[in-house]
Amino acid sequence: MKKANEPAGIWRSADRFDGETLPTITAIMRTRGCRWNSCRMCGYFEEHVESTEEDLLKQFKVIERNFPKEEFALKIFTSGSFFDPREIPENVRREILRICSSYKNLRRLIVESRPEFVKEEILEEALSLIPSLEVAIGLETSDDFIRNFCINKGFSFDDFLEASKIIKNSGAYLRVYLLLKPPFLSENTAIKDVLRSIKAISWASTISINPVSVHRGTEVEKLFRRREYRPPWLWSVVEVLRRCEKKANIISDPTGGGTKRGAHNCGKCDNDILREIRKFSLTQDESVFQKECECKEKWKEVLELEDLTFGTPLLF
Amino acid sequence: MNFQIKRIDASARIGKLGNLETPAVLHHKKIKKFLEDHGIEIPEIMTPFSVAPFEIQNETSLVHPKKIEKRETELLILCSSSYMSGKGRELFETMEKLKKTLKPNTAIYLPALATPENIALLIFLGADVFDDLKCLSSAMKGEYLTRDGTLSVSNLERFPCSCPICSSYTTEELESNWRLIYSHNFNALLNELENVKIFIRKGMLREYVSKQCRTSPWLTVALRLYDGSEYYFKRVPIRRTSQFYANSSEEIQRAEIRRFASRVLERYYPKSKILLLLPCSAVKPYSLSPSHRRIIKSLGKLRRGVDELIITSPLGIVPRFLETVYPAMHYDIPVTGRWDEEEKKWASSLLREFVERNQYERIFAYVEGDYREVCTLSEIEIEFFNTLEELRKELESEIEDVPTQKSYMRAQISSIADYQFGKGTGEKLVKDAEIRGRYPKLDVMVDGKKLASLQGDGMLSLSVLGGERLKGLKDYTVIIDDFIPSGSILSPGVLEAGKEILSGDEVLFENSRVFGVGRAVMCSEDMLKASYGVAINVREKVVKE
Repeated sequence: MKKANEPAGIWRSADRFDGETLPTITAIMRTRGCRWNSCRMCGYFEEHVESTEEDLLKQFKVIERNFPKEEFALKIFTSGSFFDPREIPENVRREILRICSSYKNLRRLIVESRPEFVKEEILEEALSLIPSLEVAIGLETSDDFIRNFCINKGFSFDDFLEASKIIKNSGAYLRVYLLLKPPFLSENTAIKDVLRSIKAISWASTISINPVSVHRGTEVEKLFRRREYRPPWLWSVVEVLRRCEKKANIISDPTGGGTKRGAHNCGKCDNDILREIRKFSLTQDESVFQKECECKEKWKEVLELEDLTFGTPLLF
Repeated sequence: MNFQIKRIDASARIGKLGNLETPAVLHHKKIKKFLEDHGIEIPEIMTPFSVAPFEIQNETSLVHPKKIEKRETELLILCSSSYMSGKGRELFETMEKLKKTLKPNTAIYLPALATPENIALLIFLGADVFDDLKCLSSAMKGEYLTRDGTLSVSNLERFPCSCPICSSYTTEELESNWRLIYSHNFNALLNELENVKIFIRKGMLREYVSKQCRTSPWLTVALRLYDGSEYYFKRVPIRRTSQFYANSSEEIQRAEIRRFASRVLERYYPKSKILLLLPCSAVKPYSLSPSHRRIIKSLGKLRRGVDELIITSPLGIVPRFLETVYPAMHYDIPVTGRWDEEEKKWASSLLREFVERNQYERIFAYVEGDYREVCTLSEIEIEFFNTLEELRKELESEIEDVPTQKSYMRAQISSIADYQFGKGTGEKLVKDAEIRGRYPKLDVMVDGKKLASLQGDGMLSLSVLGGERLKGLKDYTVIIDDFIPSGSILSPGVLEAGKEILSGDEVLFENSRVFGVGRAVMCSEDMLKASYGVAINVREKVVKE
C-alpha cells in the first residue's frame, strides 16, 4: 500500500561535485505525479498518490531524519517537476527549502524539473535560500525528432535551452539527463545520439547518462514483452563514457543495470562493468575501464548490424 | 536497375536484380554496399513490427508492415520482418498484403528473417532477397540451424551435417566459438537456397514446401492460409509438366484441386445419357493403365456411347475426356488401399453435384470397396455391376447408336477446350476437324492445317488458325498496344487482359495490326500491374492487311 505521508524511497550513495566526492541522500517523494506523464519509457507515474500539503511535509520530515552529520548532498526527486506547483505546492516548496537552508552541512541540493516549470522568480527565491541549488532537466536527447517521436517528451531543444539559460543566469547548477537508447533506435544510433547530444549541450555542470530500463506499465514494456525492444548493452554505456566530450562531469548510474529489464551484457561481466561505470562516475578516470568479456564481440556485431533489421533488435 | 523475372513457379520466382540472381542471400558484410547500390538510406528512427511508422520514416524503398502502400521501386525492403519468425499468420497476412499492393516486378527483401528452415516458405510466398543476419544472431545464442529446425549446440554430440565446418570441428569447438556456428548456419542456409531453386526450376516448389513446412506448426499455418487465399490462388499455373504430389490429406485444399473440381462442374457437359463410374488407376492417363485397358477392351466400341467418370482422390471425380488435363494426368498419391473420411466426403459430394448438374438417364458403376462407398455416400441412384461381362451386356441393350471414333475423339478435344476456355468453345474449335496422332499426343487438323495440338502436358495449345476460331473469346483475349510483337509480349505492352487468364493459359492477342496466339506467363491481373517482364510468349501471329 502506497502511503501518502511517506516517501517512495530514500537511499544513500556517493556522488562527485566539483571534483570532490560527497555522500548523497537520494529521496523520492510521492506527489500527484508528473503533469506530462506521456513519455514512452516512463513508469514513474505508477508511484503517484493524491498527497496533501500536509502529506508532503510529513514525507520531508522522514527524509530529514536521514540527514547525516557530515557534509552531504541531497537529491529530492518527485519523478516529475519539483517546480511544478501542482506537484509541490508553493508553500511546501518554500518550507522544504527553508528547512534545507538550516543545515549548514548540506553542500548541494538537487531537484528535477521539466523546462516549462523553470521560472526566474522561482529560481531566484530558491537560490536565496540554497545557493548551491542544482536543477536537473531530462533533456534525453538534443535531437527533436528522437525526443518527439521516440520518447514523446513534449518539449523541444529550444525549450531546454531557454530553461538552461534561466538556470545559468540565476547562478544555479545544471544537471542534464540524457537517455541512452530510447525505443526505435538501434544500439549504434543510440550511442551516436548521446554523443551528439553531449556535443550539443553548451553548458552543464553534470551530464548524466541514463540507459533505458523497462518500467512496468509502459509502452516500452509492451515492446520489451514482444521482444521488440532490448535495453542497451552496458558496453554501450562504457562506450559513451569513454568517447564523449568531457565538457562536464559525465556520470551514469544504470537503473536496473545487469538485469534483463535494465542495461545489461551477457550476465557474466555485468557486475564488473557496473562497478567500473560507478567508479568512472566518481573519478572521471577512463582508465577504470579494464574489463573484457567474450560478449563484447557480439555487442560489436550488434553495433555494426542492428540497423539492417530495420526496426527489430538483432539480438534480444 | 530493373528486377527481371526469369522464371515463375506460382508465386515464387527466379530473377535478376542488377547483377544479383534471386532468390538471394546477402552476406552481412555486403548488405550496406547492396543498400548503397540501390540508393537506400538507413533511417535513424525505425519502429518495430507492431508500431505503425512515423511520418518521418519515408524512405521510398522501405515499407513498414503496419503501413503497406504502393511503391515505385525495383527493390522493396519490408522493415522489421524478423518479427514474423515463428508467427505464421503475421507472415502470411503481411506477405499477401505486400504482394497484392506491389507491382509483380518488385523484388522483396525480408531482412534478418531467413533460416534454412523457413527460406523455402518465404520464397514460396514471393520474397526474393534475404540475408544471413538470423544465422548470425542465432549463432550468438548458440543455436545451430538446420533445415529441420534449431538445435542447441550445447546439446549436440555429433553434427547432423557435413559442411566444411561440421566436418572439421568438434561440437566443443563450436560451442566455444559462435563464429563457427555462424559459418555452419550460413552454409546450411545457402544449401537450402540452392535446394529451393532446383524446385522452382522443376515447377514443384509447392511439393517441396508441403514437405518442408512440417518442421514447425507456424510454417504450416502459413501454408494453410496460402491455400485459402484468392490472391495466391490466381498465381498457381493452370498447367504444368511436372508431377503433382499430394502426400498429405491437406493437399486437397490446393488451388489445382479446387480449380479442377469447379471447372469439371462448371465447364464440362455430358456427351451421353449414360454415366459410367470407374475407379482410378496408378498409371496416368487412366486409359493407358492395365486396369483401364482391360475395361476398354471388354467394352469395345460401346465405351464411346457412355460418359465415363473416374472416381479418385484427391481430385474427386475426373471425366474420361479430361483425364489428361493438369493435374489429372500428373497427380500421384500414397495409395494405401484405404480412403479416409475426408477423401470419401469430398469425392462423394463432387459426384453428387456433378450428377445434379448434368442430366443422365442412367448411372452405372463398375467399382468396389471404398470407391463403392463413395458412390453410396453420394446418395444418387446408381446401378452397380460386379463383372465387366454384365456391364457390357447392359450397355449393349441400352446404347442404340455409338458415336464414330472420329467424333468421339473430337468430343474429347472439345471437352478439354471447354475446360481451358469455357463451355461451348470446344465445339467451335473442333468443328469439321480431324484428330490425328497417338494418344495422348494429338493434333487437331482441318484441311491439312493444324488448329491446335494436345501437348505432352495433356492440354491444348492453339495455332493462329485455331485461335481465329475462338475469336471474340473475351476472357482469354489480350489487347496489346499498337505494335507487332516478335518473341514475347512484355507487360507494359498489354492494354487489356481477359479476366480469366492464368499463368500457363493459351491466350489470343490482338490490336489493329496483328492477331495471334501464345502462352500467358502471368495472370491477367499481373499483366496489367507489372511494369516489366514477359506477359505472353508468342507462338504464332498474322499481320492484318
